[in-house]
Amino acid sequence: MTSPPKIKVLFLDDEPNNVASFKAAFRLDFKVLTATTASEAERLLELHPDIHVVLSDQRMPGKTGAEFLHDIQQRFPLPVRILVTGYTDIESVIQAINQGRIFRYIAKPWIEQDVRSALQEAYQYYTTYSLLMQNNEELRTANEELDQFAHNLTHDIRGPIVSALGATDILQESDNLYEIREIAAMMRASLQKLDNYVADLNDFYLLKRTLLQKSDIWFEAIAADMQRIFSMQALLHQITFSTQVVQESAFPGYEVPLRIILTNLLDNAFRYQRPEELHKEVKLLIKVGAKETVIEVSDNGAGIDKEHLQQVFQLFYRASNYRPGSGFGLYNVQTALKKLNGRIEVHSECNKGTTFILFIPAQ
Amino acid sequence: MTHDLHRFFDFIVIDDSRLDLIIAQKMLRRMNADFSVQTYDQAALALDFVKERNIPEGVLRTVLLVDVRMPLMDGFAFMEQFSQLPEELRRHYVPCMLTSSISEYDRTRAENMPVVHAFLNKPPDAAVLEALLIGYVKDNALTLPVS
Repeated sequence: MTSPPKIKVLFLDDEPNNVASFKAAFRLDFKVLTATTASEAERLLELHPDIHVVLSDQRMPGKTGAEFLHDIQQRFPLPVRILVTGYTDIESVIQAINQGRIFRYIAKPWIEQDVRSALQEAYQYYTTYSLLMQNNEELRTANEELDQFAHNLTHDIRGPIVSALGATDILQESDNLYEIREIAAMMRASLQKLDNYVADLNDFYLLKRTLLQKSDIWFEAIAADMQRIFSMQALLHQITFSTQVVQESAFPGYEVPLRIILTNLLDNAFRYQRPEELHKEVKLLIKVGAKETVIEVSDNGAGIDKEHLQQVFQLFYRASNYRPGSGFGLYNVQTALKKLNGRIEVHSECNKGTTFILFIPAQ
Repeated sequence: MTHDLHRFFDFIVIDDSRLDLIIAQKMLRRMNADFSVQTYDQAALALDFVKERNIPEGVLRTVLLVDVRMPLMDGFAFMEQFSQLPEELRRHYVPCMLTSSISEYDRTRAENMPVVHAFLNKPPDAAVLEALLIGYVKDNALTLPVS
């Protein structure tokens, strides 16, 4: 017989003999937990959130099995509930099924094979149901994001277009070359914003909707690419960009989300500088371990206000008035991090700079 | 009446986009070259100004053209704060939303704020604004002192 994944079962019966015989019959093929009182059973449910099936005897002092199964429904919605009862209790079985959303009832004295197949089916139901719950949760998130999109769409996409349109009116009527040039530069910035938005949107969907390819990552190559991507900005704004990689062996992971995270964090670091700072700096430090890679992106720029620090990872949140942002950047960072099971820390002080520290586990 | 509108109204435009501030300013000046227009790229600064400024004299009303989506303090937050100001100060202002948003949600939300006088779409339309201003003068029976 193929060994199925160990199904975790909780069996509740006030008769110690019944408990013992249940355990004896099924402990080899199932992970069996047992209890002789309802409160003990509830404690076990708390301690073991991964219990798949709960069986309860109907006739117990204090609480009936049907009542018990009904009571645990709210707090422990996932385990599948089975009532064990004699034929004489048919009334209570009907009540239990109606009230307690019982998956099945097993007649006493139970036949081993029946219980076995009931447990298998209950487990199947459990996995289907949890998958459904998970899908529902994903669907809910997707819907929320969609709502937010629809709501932001008019502003984030229509905004720059409307500005550019308004600007053409001025251009058409102006004879002042200086003014025309100034307006044209602003139009350009406005359209650039729209273009950035589309690029970020693309990243957003790349992260959400595509399967990731695992590969051996060598961070020197990524760091070199980042040097290349940001060399223009570094030159233009006289920012010293230094990268350092400490890596001895290949790091198994997903490269696409990593690149998205780094470009976004570096982009912020380059963007939020202080013009008056004479030695503008952006640093990328990557330390690769066997189990975890730690990446630090730091700058000595504008920093983030304490009151905004909590919100910077929200979709469309913008903490600055002076720099163009799509409101996507750090949200994309966080989505990418989730894909990598990583976490992020941010340390920031106004007018001192910001450091993001990423912890990425090996896949 | 159009050529007299500057005697009834001056303007404060609040928008985080510098380009949109210029566009609004040009539109207003084209409508009436004598309009006085101030611009703010941060709502909080505009609010401070409104709080500390002396109440405009006579029949002069100040139209606030406020963008909806701005970082930090957005248009709604501005209106919320503005509505907390004393009535004798507020009555000298005509607060309007001016936004690129064509979302029903934003419109409904603005319409549910009693303090918001009008919800206008970008790009700002001189004819729409002019009709709105003339309507305001009539509705409030504003008259110019005989000189």
